[in-house]
Amino acid sequence: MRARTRERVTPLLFLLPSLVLLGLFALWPLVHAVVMSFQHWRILGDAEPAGFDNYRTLLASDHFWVALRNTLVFAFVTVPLGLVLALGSALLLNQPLRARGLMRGIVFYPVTVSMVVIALLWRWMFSENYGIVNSLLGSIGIEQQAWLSESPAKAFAVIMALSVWKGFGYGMVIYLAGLQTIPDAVREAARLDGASRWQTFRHVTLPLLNPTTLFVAVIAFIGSFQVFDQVYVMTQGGPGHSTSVLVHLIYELAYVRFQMGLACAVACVLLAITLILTGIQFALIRPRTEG
Amino acid sequence: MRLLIRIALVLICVVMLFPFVFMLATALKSEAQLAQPGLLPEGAWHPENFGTAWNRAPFTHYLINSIIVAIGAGALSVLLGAMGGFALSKYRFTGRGLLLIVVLSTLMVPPQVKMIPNFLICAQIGLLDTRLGLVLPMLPLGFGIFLMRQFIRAIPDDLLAASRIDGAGELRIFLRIVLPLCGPAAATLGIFTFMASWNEFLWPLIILDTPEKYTIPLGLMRFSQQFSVEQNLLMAVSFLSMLPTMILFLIFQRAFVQGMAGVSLHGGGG
Amino acid sequence: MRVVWTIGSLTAFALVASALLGCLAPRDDPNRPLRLVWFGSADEETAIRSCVASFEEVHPGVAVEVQMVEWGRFNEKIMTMLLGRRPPDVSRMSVQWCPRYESLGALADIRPHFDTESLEDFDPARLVSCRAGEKLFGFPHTSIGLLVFINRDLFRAAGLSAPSSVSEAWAWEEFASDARTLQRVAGVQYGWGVFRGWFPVVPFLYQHGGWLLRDGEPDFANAANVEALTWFVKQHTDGIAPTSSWAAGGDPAETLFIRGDCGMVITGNWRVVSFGRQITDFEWGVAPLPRDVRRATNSGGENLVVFNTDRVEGATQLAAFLTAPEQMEHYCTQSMFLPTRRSLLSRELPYQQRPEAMALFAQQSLDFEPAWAQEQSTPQFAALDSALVRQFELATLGHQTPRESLEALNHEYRQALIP
Repeated sequence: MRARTRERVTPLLFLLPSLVLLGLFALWPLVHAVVMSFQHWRILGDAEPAGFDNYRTLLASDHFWVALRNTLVFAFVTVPLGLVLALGSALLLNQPLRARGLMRGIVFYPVTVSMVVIALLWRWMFSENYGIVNSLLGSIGIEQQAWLSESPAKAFAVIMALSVWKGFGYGMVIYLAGLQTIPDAVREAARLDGASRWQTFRHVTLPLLNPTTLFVAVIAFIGSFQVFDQVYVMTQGGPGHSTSVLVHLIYELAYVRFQMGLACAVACVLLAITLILTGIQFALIRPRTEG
Repeated sequence: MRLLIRIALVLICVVMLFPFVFMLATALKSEAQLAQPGLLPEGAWHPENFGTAWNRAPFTHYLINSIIVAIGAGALSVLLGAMGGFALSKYRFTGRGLLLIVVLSTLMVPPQVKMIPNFLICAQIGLLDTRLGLVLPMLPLGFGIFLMRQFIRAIPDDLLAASRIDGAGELRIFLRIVLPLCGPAAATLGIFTFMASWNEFLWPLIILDTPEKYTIPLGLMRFSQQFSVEQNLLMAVSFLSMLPTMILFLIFQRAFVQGMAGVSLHGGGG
Repeated sequence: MRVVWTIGSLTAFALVASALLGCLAPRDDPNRPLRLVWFGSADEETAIRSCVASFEEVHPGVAVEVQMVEWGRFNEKIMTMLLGRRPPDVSRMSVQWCPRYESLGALADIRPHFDTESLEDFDPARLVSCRAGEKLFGFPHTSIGLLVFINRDLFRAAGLSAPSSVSEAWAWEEFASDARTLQRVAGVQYGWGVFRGWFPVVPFLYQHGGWLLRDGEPDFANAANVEALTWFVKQHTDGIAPTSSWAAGGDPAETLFIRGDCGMVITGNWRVVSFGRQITDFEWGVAPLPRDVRRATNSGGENLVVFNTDRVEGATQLAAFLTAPEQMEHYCTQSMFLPTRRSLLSRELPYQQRPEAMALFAQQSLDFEPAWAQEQSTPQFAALDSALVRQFELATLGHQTPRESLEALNHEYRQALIP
């Protein structure tokens, strides 16, 4: 009897401080956002119940659909790309190379700088008339591009490139930590059995990295849905709304138009999408983790 | 193969370092030189920009604040993350899966949405304009618990069972066995939390009122105002503010390797 | 290894505990300092701190706490302060935001604490945004104005001379023709440009005889506006002004001007100091805005507003002191803004740089009707801020016709305050 109670109570005790903090500062805002999405609320003064009005407004709003589309494109392009680069660089920099600590630092340092500063840097680099990128392209004979000002597709591509560039060092470090948990003995055994490098990787290393991959993928997707700073700095969602994303819409609704109910509705949509996608990832990657 | 590796390394260096060089070059330009084409400043370089920018605001003070807050956040996050991750991976109890989902879902709320409710709660509890109020709401617990869970799963159950048979209490098992074995993961989590806290701008802006408590990102505000961005000074200070986290990372590199050695010696694999 | 961990965790706990003990916030007590929220450049911070120091000398026993915030995040900061029931006592606030906070009920009526006769000296167009009906909730402080900044070297090379006083302002066709001459003869890429915003575009609508509201209803798409915006857009599509400067990611017209790739740029007094520092290759100066059926500019700037706290009387005193003639003159000459008092606008103030340019700004600022201040001061207009820029951008970039943009603005205005 005692052992069973211990089995049940102890984990909850370990989780208690975290649950209190999360309850206060993450779950309560979540509930608050859901409740608010069904109300009309203008910050000060009382909130009025609104039923599904806010959601109807969203579904009819052009800005919402564009932002949704852009957010999904962003997530499904940058996350897989980032994963591949992260794993690749982790494998590369796990080798006994000289100065590999320094090389890891070179890949990782963008993660340590604030996104706003990096976005500003890239914006100046890609300036149509005065940017370094265009002058380099010009010197090899390629025409100058209006990277951020003409076509939403080009601007969004730059934003995505920036995000991958800045973020994959994060994934690399986690993969490195994951690689450390795979004992060399296991890999050597496979090589001794006659497997090639690629086969070892594909059938031994990669599956053993599944918990790590699950982690990086889930975190990366969740983060990518919340993209904001780089869009705000580089294009302000423009021209028009064409490069806007969901969090940018939330920001504008909440702090420019003071329409908190609508902002919360968008947040709920964001939450729902993220939950569904995370569930899918768990279902896809998890079964291979067992055994 | 060697050649491929060499090429890959060179490519990495060029692509990753190019904006960094641009950042430094911008930091070394005078305001008039900012208008020049070309990467490097023509004429005199201006390393005094670093000093000028640093003295624009009490950055040394902000630096100390940032360090205290970031270390505090890192320590708390590792401890609570390990505790939570341990609970979710090495114990079976009803609602375990649900709790994991709940913990994960806390990551899915964008900060813009959390800001106002968090502020209201801090106002109620009396945490406004305090360091605790700065740290607690922004602790990446969802991330930390999830990360530690994935790593703690790799610790053999036999090890824990053996300790239980020897009569060790759960807390002892956690402190003596689990925590030391999480070396690489704990270091990773610690450094990520440190960095997130270091670069956090929006929440400190909202929660802090007294300038004595400001962290470095709040100081960066001075350089990008309503009508102008002082590019050179902003880049200079950003570069300086990058250094502590970079140094931490490079040190962390070593701890990484040592931690790994520690793990295999403790029989993590066999 | 274990020793390292134990020591490490103890140290961490000690740090966390000390941080904890550092700091539980004191409750609001009646003798607390007055909270003043401010934003601005380094020069402006220095200026306001010296004004505040003067206040504290004159009112010993009253302390003032100055809190600097970033202009771009002002709304987030103030809103959370309001929600946490710790609003500032006095805050600097841009003209376009005042009506919004007033409609939320956050601002105090300061008439009981202030002698309203001395309001006479304030520029009536600027007082509009400090009032809601009869209620007064703040004072105007600084104003911003627009002028045409010109590249004198290019003008000389093209054999042109620019008007130097408001009465000699270019007519639209003369303005466009001079711009084209600059391109053809002096070889510059663009003749003129404006910064990306609604602020410099609206004067063109007014100059052509247009308006924004009629009887309180949005009437953006009236005939005069459509013609004016069409002319404005055509200047861009004809290549005289840069279209790329209208995309948020493109090179701003001011940058093109600084680099010598644009002959004229319409921007404001806030650029005088930075142009002074950044432009070293050519001589630059200012000229009045062009005119059409009438002269018009735009005006705006910052007010000092008083919030509903327990210190309204003291806060009003502070706001009144900071906007008194002496303090206003000190602040404006230090920070290169225009004053909002008629007594100061009619004098040549000792600005630290380019006093002749500031004098022309002051002269031009008289071409602004209080009715325009009125229509730009409605709460809906504040919510329209980014929508205005967006619609003008869509028209200039050719994604929409000017008429479509203006009609979209009518629609957005009506939607603006629906929660």
